[in-house]
Amino acid sequence: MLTYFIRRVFTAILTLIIAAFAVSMLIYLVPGDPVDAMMGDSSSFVSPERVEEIRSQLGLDKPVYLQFPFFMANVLRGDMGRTIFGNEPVLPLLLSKLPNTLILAFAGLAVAILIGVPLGYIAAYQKGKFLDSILMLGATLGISMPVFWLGLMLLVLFSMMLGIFPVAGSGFGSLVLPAFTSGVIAAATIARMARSTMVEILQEDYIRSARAKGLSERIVLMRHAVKPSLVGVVGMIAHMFTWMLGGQIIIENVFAWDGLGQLAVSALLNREYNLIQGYILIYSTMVVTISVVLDLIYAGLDPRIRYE
Amino acid sequence: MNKRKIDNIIEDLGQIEFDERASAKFKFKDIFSKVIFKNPSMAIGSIMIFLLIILAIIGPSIAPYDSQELNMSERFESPSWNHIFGTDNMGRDIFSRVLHGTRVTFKIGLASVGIGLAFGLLIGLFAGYSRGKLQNVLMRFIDILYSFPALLIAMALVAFLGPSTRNLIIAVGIASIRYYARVTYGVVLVERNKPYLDAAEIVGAGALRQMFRHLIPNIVPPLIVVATLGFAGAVLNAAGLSFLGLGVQPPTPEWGLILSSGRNYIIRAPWLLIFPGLAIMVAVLSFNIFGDGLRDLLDPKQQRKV
Repeated sequence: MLTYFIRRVFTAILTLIIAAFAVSMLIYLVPGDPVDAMMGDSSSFVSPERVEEIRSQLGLDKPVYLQFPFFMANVLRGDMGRTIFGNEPVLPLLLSKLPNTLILAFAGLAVAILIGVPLGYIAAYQKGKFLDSILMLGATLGISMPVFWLGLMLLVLFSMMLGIFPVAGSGFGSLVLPAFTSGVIAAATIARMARSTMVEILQEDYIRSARAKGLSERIVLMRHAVKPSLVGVVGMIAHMFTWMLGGQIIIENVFAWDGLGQLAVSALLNREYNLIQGYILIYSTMVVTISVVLDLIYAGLDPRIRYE
Repeated sequence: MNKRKIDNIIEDLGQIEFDERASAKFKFKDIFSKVIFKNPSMAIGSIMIFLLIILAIIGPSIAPYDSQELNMSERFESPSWNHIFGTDNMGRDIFSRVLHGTRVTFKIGLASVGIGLAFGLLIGLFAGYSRGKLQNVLMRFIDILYSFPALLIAMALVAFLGPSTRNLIIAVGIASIRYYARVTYGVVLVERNKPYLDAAEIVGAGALRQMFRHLIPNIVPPLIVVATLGFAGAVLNAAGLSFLGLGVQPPTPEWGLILSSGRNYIIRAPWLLIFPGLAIMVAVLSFNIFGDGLRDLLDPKQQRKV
């Protein structure tokens, strides 16, 4: 287990380094001069000294091969530069928005699990029947629906016409709609996966044996079917969680939720390259951490994985 | 290659011919018995896609109004016989704009699937065919890409390339490479152990010829499935980025963009949001239904596996 743990953490760190390298190189994708692009129309109001300062902050005064070491050294010191407009340090700014994003992601995930997993199981149990077709049609609609459209429609209906939930803000009332929106979309994917996992399990011989030896249907389902499906379900829930963290970019924008996604979009539109790089790095760290934790849980559950 | 293996292969050659005939699962005369009755979702999906393609081709010419035409005397008209989807803040006819958007959406979808599929196919093919280092490096790279949502990768690329239709296509395409690479890799791993490749090698086909003349034709069916589902995903991601202002720029009538420019008038003119959103959903849904059905048809064992 320890060897597995060390190997897994090592690959995780490698992944992060490669992500950081890619992030540091993104600046070279900017057509023309990045600093000019950042300044946009306001470039004539900015002093040449300030331009030079920003240039050195981005590491653009150094040769290409020093770009990544420079970037990495700063990141390891916890310095991701400062924003251009407002001159705020990037890392504290990002971290201050992180709690809100996590709250929304967990709430959305809870909705997704509560809706997606039971419906997927019910569909599998009713495979081929009317209820299954209806549920799977609903799930296909769910994966085809643009998340921002669903969000806006719910916003019109519940906040503007019925006045039940506030239009924007960060209290509990304003958490309901965004969590429900992202939860429903994620539930569609989860239900499809849960169904196919369960369909396979229900065809196993040991389910037939369990029924044949006279166990009640409830025990067959709970003990023999649901339990083995959990490994797969946990995996896809973790996958949906990373999707949800990324999907927040749109959700937060629709509901004016004051989190990382909202900050990222404004950074993107204002060409705050430091901030975008910081956002991607924080996001990568979260994703990689989740996948390491998940793999360790798997390895704990299933010994075959550690000896692979 | 030792003698015994060659003998085995020559023995197998008769078998291959038989296998190929048996695996020609799909015959045109089966189209009713196998497709339409047994697989209604594929029938519905293909009809919907067919209609969408027709609209993408002739849509702009049958649109009742010019999609860019401003008409300040007809601002914010609610849906009526003159403007069945209503008009926007500049009096433009939403129905005409949505119709025009079909072509824009197909252009973005096809081009980005093309980019993703071309590079993904090459990466998957080389990784699956070669053994050892190349395979490890390529697939490790794909694994890393897989740890991020496609939307985020596309967003990061657009952010630095600058928002425009061309860059949106590039970004959405690059973000989907990993998907095509992984599927190709998986299929190639299975195919490369089949005797027809050994047979090709014996008659002197080099690595490239084996890959492009022998492997690719045999992995086309699963690739069509993933490309169909990938098209749906690409349309959704592109609409999302345009909605955020990071994709297609005004005044091009792109569905996500029409929707986002209607956000300020959400109370006054909700039809500005409803119809483009429905259009996105119908398009994505068609491809998802068709892709699901096609997968069931080509691989009955994998029914509805995600």
